[in-house]
Amino acid sequence: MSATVAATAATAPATAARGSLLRGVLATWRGRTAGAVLLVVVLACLVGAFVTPYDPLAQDLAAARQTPSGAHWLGTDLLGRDVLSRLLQGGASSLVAVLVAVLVRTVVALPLGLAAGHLGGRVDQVITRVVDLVMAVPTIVILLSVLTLFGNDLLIGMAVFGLLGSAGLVRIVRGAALAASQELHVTAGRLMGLSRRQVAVRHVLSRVRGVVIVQTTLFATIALGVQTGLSFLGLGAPPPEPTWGGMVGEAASVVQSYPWLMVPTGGVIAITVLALGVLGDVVRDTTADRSSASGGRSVRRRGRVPAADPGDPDVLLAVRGLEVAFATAAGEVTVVRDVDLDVRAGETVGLVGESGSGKSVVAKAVLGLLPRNGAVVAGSAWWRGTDLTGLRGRGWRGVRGSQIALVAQDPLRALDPTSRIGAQLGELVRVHDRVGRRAARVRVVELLEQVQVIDPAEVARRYPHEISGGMAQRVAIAMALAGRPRLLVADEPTTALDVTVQAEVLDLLRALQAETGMAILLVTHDWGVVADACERVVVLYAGEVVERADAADVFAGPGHPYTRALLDCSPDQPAPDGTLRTVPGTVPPPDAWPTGCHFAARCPRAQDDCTQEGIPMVELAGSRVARCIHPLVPAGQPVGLTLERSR
Amino acid sequence: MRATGAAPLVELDGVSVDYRWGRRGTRRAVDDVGFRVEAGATLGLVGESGSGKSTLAKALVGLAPVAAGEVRLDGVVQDPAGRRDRGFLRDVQYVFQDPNSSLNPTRTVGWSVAEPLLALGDRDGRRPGADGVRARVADILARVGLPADAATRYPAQFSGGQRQRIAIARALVVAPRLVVCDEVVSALDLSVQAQVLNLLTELQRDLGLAYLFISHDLGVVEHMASQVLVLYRGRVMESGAAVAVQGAPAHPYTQALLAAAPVADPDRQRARREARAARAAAVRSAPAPLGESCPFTHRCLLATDVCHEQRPALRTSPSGTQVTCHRTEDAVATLPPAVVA
Repeated sequence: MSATVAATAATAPATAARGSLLRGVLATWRGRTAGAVLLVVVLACLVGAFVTPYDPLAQDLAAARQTPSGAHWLGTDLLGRDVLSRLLQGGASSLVAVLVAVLVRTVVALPLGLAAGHLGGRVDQVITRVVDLVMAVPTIVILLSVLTLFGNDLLIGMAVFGLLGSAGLVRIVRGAALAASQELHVTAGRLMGLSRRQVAVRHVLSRVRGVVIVQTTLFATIALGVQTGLSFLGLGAPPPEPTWGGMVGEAASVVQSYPWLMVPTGGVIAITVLALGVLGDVVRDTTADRSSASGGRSVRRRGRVPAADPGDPDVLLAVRGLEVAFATAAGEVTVVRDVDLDVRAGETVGLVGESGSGKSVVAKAVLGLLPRNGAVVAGSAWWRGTDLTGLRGRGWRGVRGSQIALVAQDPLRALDPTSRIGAQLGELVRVHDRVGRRAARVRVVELLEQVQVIDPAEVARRYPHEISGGMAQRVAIAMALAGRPRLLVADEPTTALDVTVQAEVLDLLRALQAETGMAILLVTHDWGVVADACERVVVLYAGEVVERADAADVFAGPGHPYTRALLDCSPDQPAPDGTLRTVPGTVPPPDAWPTGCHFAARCPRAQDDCTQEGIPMVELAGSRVARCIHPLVPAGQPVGLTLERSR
Repeated sequence: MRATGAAPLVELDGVSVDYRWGRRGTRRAVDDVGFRVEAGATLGLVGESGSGKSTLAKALVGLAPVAAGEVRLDGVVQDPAGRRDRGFLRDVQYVFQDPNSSLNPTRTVGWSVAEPLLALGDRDGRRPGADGVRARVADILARVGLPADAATRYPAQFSGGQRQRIAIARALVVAPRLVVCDEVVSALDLSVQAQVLNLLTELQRDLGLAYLFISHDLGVVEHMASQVLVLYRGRVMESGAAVAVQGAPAHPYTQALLAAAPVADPDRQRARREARAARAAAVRSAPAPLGESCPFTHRCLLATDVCHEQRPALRTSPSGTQVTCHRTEDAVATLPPAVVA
């Protein structure tokens, strides 16, 4: 539900790449470069197996130890043989050996891993045991004995290496298949009467493809290393037959007197390994979760214009002109702009909007918890004289937790699964109150009593997985209360809960507010929750505040057509013909916001002037302030929030 | 319920479902639950998480084995272990809650929508040719309101609401008679939820579909369903016409559920909250293990000794619904008006 704008913004560029893995890989310059390098190496070695500039075995002692020249592009070795010709022919056998290892490993591991992960039960147990056994076997010992047995036949050695290596891949494929098998489209496949094998091939295999390709490129680099290592040791093809490893060995023996020889022989191995590694990396990026698509990027905050502190003593939190941008692969995208909102001591303000409206982004910006690729690029969030958007690192100490606390949507994710609830709460208490263990233990019980946990001492001894979702949310609220905050930011605190539990948590929040006088900024998409809990409402649509008003005024009749439309969608208020009222169209994504009103394209009251220029906030009847020039209630004049309040 | 000569489309009779629990033991997720869905009608299944509503639907389609009781389609008893023939799978389709996970992200929308048609074939058992499949997919995608080029695109290129439309199209492509809607709108935004609910209503009217509509949201169920079944901890609490269950709930649990659902009206909500406060203050204890007692005793204001000792049988309540409650007369008499206002 609370899919943030961050995720939506990041989705767009990654989406296009989803179509085809190959297209996705080639879309990046790293992927193109690595692919091109590998292609050149492979083609050259393939051709080189049959055609080389010189006979790789032809010695010419007169031309020994030459550096590159027109005749010998990569110079000659100790016996005057052409290095390029030897590299090409040696490469062919090296690459075939790597291919054998990779093929054996994939062919063995893929069906076993799929069967273990998808079928589970006995099959899984047997396969997992065997895999554990194989992984415990010392690879190098087996490899050396096999080579001895088969007269240094490197291909058989590499096949055995692939077989031994398949154990690791079975584990990885099993994990991926297990995860994919939990997905609903696999269940859907079973409901189509597909056999388990068909489901595995059609639905599970396609999901493990990415991880298999990544693992295969990694394994190819290892196989290449092992193959060169073995021939370096003199195992494998005997001299004078050229091998990459043998050539490195030869170069190593004369590295003092003739260092050049190491450059082409070591270089080609290094380049091939590097290209394989980069390719694997790019494949992983392409198949990775969309949320990490813009991982490394960050927003430049140059020239951020802070907004002035309105300086109203009643107002705890004053957000002014807040603008937040996210860095995506397609560039910087503004996801929230020109947001003004006030939270006064002791009141509950509802921040309402659909997914993509930016409501969670605003809440996170206030707490300085924006993801790494997001930043406040304009405006301020004033907290009793401090601009929160200017705080960094240590600056947040003394604010986060003790002044402003957060309650998140998913309580279980807020708790550490490895430690008891009492210990987690106690740690917070010791940080905030600077007290010893004994005093902390008393306060922990006090906190749990405060959130109406029936048996606090017993609950404190439990681990997070031993309590229900409703209890976990109570504990999360207790953790938020540990620092005695003056403002609680609650981001969809009841969305994951059952209605009866939701009612209990809302009642609890109200009771705590009456007891402590703290303010609550409640992020929600549910009008019922707003009606239950909030005194004032701020409605967001496509990154902008569209309406601010007292809750009573909003429910009596909002000023903005979007607020009206959102209220009317509720299933208990159907139109006279029994259908539900809907809003035609969809929310515009942040990179496609229109000029003027963001809602104009879906608005029944839209006129030509709605799309001409930015729409100001307009003061309307009662407490309503709406970003609309054709509002549902009579209009006044454009105002800023400070003006509106000081008048 | 209705006395007709023909068997109902789908009927579950005294169904129990066990889940493996720990190494040896089992837990009863659904205990002796029955319902029927007539052709073209909608039955709403309501309950909180852990109430067994999804498990019950899974027992119907064969994803969960039935430990006791019978599942019938057109009066024909189905395999308790969960094997279903193609005819059954064509007749009964399933739409899941999460449209992100129910569509294979690596396949085009057209591929996903065509899959059931290719796997199950047509009603006469034959598979339509490639052109036939393409035409049917294009048809059904247009029917659920998706653009013509949707078939060649990938799920990630669609919004949550659109993906749920795709999932609905995939269910409808084999022309089923019953569609199980398992929390189909609970992951969607309010405005999108209304669009999808309207689409389902429209499809039911045009195609004569029956729905088994599962939701935790009473408001949504009331809008969609003519009949409602309320589950709690795997047992039936109350069932009957949606109007009766919502307008005059006769089980204390149904009443608590209604009182807890917030309404978008501050004044009504305040009244409900006050009605609720009396209950909350009176009873707060941990749930007793399920046995031969009413599963709601630990939260019930009216619970007496008999409620703890004897499992209530299904009977007709004063408001005309079927209810499993020893104290239903008192429950109806003491119902605060704010709850159903």
